[in-house]
Amino acid sequence: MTGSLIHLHNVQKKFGHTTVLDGISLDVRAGDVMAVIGPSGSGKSTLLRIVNQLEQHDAGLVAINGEKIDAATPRRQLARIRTQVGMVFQGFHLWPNMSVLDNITLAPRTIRGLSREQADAQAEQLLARVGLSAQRDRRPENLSGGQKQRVAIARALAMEPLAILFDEPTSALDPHLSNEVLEVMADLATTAGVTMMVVTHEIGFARRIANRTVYMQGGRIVQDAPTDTFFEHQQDPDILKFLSHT
Amino acid sequence: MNWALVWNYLPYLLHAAGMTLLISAMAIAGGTVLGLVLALARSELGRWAGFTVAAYTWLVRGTPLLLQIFVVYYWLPGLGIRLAAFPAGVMVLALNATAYYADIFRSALQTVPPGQIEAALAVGLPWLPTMRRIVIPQAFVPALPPYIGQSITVVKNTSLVSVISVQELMFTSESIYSSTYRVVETIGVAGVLYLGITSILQVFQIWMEHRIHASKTRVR
Ligand SMILES: Nc1ncnc2c1ncn2[C@@H]1O[C@H](COP(=O)(O)OP(=O)(O)OP(=O)(O)O)[C@@H](O)[C@H]1O
Ligand SMILES: [Mg+2]
Repeated sequence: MTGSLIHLHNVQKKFGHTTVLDGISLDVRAGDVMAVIGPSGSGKSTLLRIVNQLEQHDAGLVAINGEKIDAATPRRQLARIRTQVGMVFQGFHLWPNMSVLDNITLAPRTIRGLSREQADAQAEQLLARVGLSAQRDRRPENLSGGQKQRVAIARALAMEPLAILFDEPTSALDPHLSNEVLEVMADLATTAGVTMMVVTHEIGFARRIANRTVYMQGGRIVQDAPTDTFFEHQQDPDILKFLSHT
Repeated sequence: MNWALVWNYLPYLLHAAGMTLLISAMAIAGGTVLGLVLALARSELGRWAGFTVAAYTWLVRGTPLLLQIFVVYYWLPGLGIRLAAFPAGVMVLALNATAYYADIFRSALQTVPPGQIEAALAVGLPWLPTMRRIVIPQAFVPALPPYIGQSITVVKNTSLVSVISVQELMFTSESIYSSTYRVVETIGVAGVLYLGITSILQVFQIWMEHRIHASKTRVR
């Protein structure tokens, strides 16, 4: 576990009587880009949500940068740990009552105590990086889906997290809009070396940017392998079948 | 009709309308703050807080305001709490409005999609800024119409504290017409004054809705 930013050991999660995660263990190290793939309902979203405790696990260990978190973690400590793990949602979840700029600067100003000038300057750099400098004063509702998701990525980056979790960041988007988001993510992964866990149905994209690929089925990790090995020497019939369908 | 007579009493009626306005403002302000606290307690503090708030709402909404006024004014002294008519009246009106406001705020808070809060949690925003900057501003729009509606009810409810001799508009009207026997004229003027006060709230609602609409359509 030393050196892992995200460490999970034998994590269990039930919703009512259904077991959704059944003994998940994994480690994400600095610089890793981990793709998480698998059929619908296999527990991928639940896994990400447990990593930053939007959902609480029933058993097992979750540690972020060496700090254990679970249902007993005090709110303030949890909030501090969450600043180290950004999250980008399928549905964007931008805050509609403030501008693009304020969506990005709210957390740095509130939590890191940046002045408005400092936070604005940082946000402008981030907006430039995701190609949205011209949109800084717009309301989220006046953006396209692809633009919204790029703002959400900038918002996550603004806290300078150790890692970012992406839950199907492009599956609410038309193909031509997904590409602009995927390009931003690829840039973060390859040139900026941002550590990521990416749940995705875009197999080609996973193959291109991930250095590790995890395949989940029925709440278990069926395979966790270097991306090259995973795609080029795949032997598992279930995984081959899944890959041939997507 | 003898309007000239009522004209002589107009200064008293205006003064009484000022009292009604003051009582309304205090009851609305108190009820709003307490209602918001109860609504947040109900959604944030778990089962027992939720149960307590629900019980309070049930009790207050299920009994007549007039009865509540009597309870506070005639029962509390028995428990050693002696309040003058004015503070007692304001207190009952505020505590009564609290139950209604709490319910209005609770349902408005529930209209904010969970993803909004999850996005705030995910960047590590603490609870208070999440509520203040994200949840409450978004709950404001759906809360506004029922909130104004309830506030208008509070204004009209102030007439009931006349039964414990708070010298507001209704009480003053009654004492004027019982000496002048000009019921229709006096009550007519009082009605216009009530309408004036409630109109402030309705104008406020229209103005806020315009502002909200304008800020939504603004493309900067
Ligand atoms: N809040 C919840 N309450 C009850 N059951 C839930 C809840 N969230 C998820 N589940 C169930 O847990 C299982 C795993 O869900 P999850 O969303 O993690 O799957 P997924 O792999 O992300 O699927 P998809 O590819 O469709 O997004 C599903 O059977 C789902 O119905
Ligand atoms: Mg999912």
